[in-house]
Amino acid sequence: MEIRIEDLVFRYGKRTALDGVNLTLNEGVTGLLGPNGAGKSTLMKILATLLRHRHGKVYVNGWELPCDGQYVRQNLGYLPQVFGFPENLTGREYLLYAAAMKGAPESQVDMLLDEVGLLNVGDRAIRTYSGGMKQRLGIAQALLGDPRLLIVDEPTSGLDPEQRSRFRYLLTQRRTDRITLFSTHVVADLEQTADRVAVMHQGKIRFFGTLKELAECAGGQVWVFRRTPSTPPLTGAYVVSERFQDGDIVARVISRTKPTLDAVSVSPTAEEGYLVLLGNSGIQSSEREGGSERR
Amino acid sequence: MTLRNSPGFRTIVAYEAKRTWRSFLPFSIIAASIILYLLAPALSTGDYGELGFQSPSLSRHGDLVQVVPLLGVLLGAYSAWETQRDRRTQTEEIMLGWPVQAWQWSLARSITLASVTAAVFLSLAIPSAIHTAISYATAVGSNGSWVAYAVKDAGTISVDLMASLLGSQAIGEIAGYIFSGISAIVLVILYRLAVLVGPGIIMGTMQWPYPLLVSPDLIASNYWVPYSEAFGLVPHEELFLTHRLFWLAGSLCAIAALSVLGCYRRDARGKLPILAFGAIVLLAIGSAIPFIRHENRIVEAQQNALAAFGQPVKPKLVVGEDGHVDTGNASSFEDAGRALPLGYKIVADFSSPPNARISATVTLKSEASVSELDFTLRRVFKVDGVELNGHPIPADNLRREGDILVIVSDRAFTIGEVITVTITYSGKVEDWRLDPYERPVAIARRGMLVVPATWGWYPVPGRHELTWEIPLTSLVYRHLEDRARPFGDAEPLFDVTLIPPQGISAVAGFVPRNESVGSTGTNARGEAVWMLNGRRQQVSLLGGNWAAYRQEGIEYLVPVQCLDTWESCSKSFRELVKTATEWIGLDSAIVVPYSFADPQFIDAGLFGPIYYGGSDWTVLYRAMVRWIWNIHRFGLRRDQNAGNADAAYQYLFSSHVVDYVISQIARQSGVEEAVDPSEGYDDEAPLNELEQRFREWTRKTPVQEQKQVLRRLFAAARQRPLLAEDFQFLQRGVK
Repeated sequence: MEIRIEDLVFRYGKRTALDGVNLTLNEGVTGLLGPNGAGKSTLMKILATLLRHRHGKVYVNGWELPCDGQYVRQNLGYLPQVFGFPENLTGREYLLYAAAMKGAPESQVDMLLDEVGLLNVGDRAIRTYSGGMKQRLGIAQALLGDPRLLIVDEPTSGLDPEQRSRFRYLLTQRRTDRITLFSTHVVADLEQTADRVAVMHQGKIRFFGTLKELAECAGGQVWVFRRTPSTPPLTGAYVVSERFQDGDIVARVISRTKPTLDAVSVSPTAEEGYLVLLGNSGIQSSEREGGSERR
Repeated sequence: MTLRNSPGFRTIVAYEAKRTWRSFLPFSIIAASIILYLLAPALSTGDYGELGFQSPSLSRHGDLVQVVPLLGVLLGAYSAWETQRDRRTQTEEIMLGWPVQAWQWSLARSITLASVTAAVFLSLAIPSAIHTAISYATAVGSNGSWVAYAVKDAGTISVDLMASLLGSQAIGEIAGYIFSGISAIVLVILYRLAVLVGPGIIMGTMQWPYPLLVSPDLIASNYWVPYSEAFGLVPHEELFLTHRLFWLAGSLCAIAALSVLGCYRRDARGKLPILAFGAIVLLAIGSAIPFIRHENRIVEAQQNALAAFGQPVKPKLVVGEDGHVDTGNASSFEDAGRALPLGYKIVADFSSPPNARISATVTLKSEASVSELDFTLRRVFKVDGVELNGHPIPADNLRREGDILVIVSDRAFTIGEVITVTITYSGKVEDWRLDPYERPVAIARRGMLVVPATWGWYPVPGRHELTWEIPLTSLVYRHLEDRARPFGDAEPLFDVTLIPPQGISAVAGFVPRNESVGSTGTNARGEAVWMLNGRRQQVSLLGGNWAAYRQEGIEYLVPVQCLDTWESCSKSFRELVKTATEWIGLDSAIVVPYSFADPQFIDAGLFGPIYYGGSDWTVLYRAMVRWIWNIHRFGLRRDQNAGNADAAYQYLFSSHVVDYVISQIARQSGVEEAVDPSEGYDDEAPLNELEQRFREWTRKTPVQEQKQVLRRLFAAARQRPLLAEDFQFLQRGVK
């Protein structure tokens, strides 16, 4: 199973959403990171066959999109970022509907309801569900039929910590023999599930690699030091976090240079790598474009 | 992937139906349709609401279609809302990721919507069909044939309803595809409003499926004209049904096309759907051609008629309080006295509708020494030939001057000379119009023949002005006057042979003519032949097809279209007729649901009145009274040379006897309060001796005996002028 994207361009009118995306995905969980408007959802919709592109090539396991969309959909589990449900169906009915459409066995319905914690409310009308419950129902329908291509667009938004943990477990359970594309703003979710991560910005892939490699983007630029509360804030450094400890403030910052004399260089996290990568810290990293970092 | 081998399609339909029918909206629309169905009679302007369980199905539906557009708005708005449901609620964001063709969802949703449409349709059509069936089944004289009539009416209603409702769904779906959210609903409402309240051209051009398909005459009466103007007169059944069926097919095609061309962004629009859509458009335009041609024919006919009729001459009709009618210049009589008609022998052949070929042989007595004979014969007829005393007249000796036919003889006729003129003429029955813009007044088609009493379809000696009639106002008086004035005091006898179109089993006032041995009522060609021997008033309405049956001694001839309401409509009327029969004797009565708003002006041929099939018995009674009065006025024989004694008795009869009988009929039939039976007569006037005798006789003579005596008197009066000896009973009474 492989997804190959070549020079993909997609425009909404005059606005360019994807600007020459090149990416190759293999089996495993791929996290998709990027700020709002980076083009993550557009890319996912194209892969999920909901949008038809005109420029560039997209192959899913050899099938070319959009013309072979029907074949792709037969192997697809998709959860969009924003979606709705037929609210006068029950959760179980909806999943049975989805199972029938996907050709999945009905036995999967109760199993998935159980896995997402909705078994007890499966016979309630969806309109009575909370936002989190609907999100879980969406996840369940995406997992129906054991799809070989699973695309989930910010699936953890609206989930409480326990459910997020459960979702991550569901994902890691299904990481083999399939491609999972998982977009999120929560880097911590990726740290526990993703084998690779792609960072998008302004319609381009800015990074594609492991989380460790992402973290390395901020290598030698993350510092920790103590300061008194009366000390004025630093300038020229991006403060990642500050916490009180023994009457002092322990600050973690991103900076190209050593911010204070007692600052100690520490290992960066993937989130810090991401911040450096996108320049949000005010500090640009040398970009590691997907083209050079394809796996 | 085709529909048949798509494993999920039924499931899609089932789940989409579940989604749809779990909402309260479909049930609300169905409830609204039932409420509107029940309220429709109350909103109607018809007067059948008091008829109880019987009602005229098509008239009732005519009222229902006034409220169907409201349902159309509801259904259209609902369809628009549902069409964009998945888009609006973003449900499709997930569902489009499922391995299902987008058109399958569109089609499934359309089918589900159609199930709502069908439910609304059934909520209207089923009670309507039941009502229709009950009305026909309980009709007097109904036998197995009522099923056919009920099915026909119910079918017509069903087609109309289904076309309207499916059209609403299609329009709603189109709006739902084009617009999103509330704007789609607003569009549907605005569209419907424009159709409902806009001028005719907008109504015509905005009806689905597109402007070319609607002929203006079909929408002239808010688009319900299958049997308009009651007894046909507008034979649009086929056109109406064609239009509705096309509308139905067009809506289905539109819904199907929308399913394929649906605005889903996901699937490619292949060439086939585009070609199919193009084919549908072309088919729609192509199918419009017959409607356009029909419309052009109407316009052309109107222009021709306008050219033929010239400027209208409006009749000056004055109806006095005493019921006396002055038609003013309705039919002027310029040269009465040249020739007096003695008899007519007419053969009217309608066996090849819509064409008629008529041969009229008129026997005249010349009353002036002239060489020209003038006849008034409507200009729509083409004169094919004229014979004078058995000799053909050369075309050069014939002249057409509008409605006047001038026949020039080689010699002047002598006074008192009996002349026989045979005029053969032909024409299209639909061309018989009262004015260029009016619909045809006559119909000849399979199973139906309506030729109204308005004269002009057979030649009348003299020059008369055939006026344009103001529709639906004074026809009866026009008929009466037109049959009286041209003839003056002449009483020609009519021998009329009628060959109606096929499918007519009875003709009012006519009896089957036996022409050959072993054949009853058919000619050598196997066509039904009917005959009538009578006087001018009897040559009134050539009509059929009637359901003939005898009840309580009276023969009723009821148009089959009226069978469904006959029982309810005629209950009081039959009581009236029965009572009248006891007093004056009646041979038959013909009940025709004329479209006249005021039955006071109903026709009054001597073979029986034509009654409006309504429930306003006060008006009906007035019509009945007037009919009896008209018998006296036009039907009874008066001897112009009667001696003083006879004249005095004739006056007694025409005033007091008729007056008394009317009052008795009113009292006994329970409608006494309905009208003053002495209306039009001066009760304060002093009575002469004869009148006093009659009044005394009525006081002293038992009612049963009075009836017997007066029946004989009326029977005599219909046969000949009354004489003094007919009133012998008065001599006995005063002794």
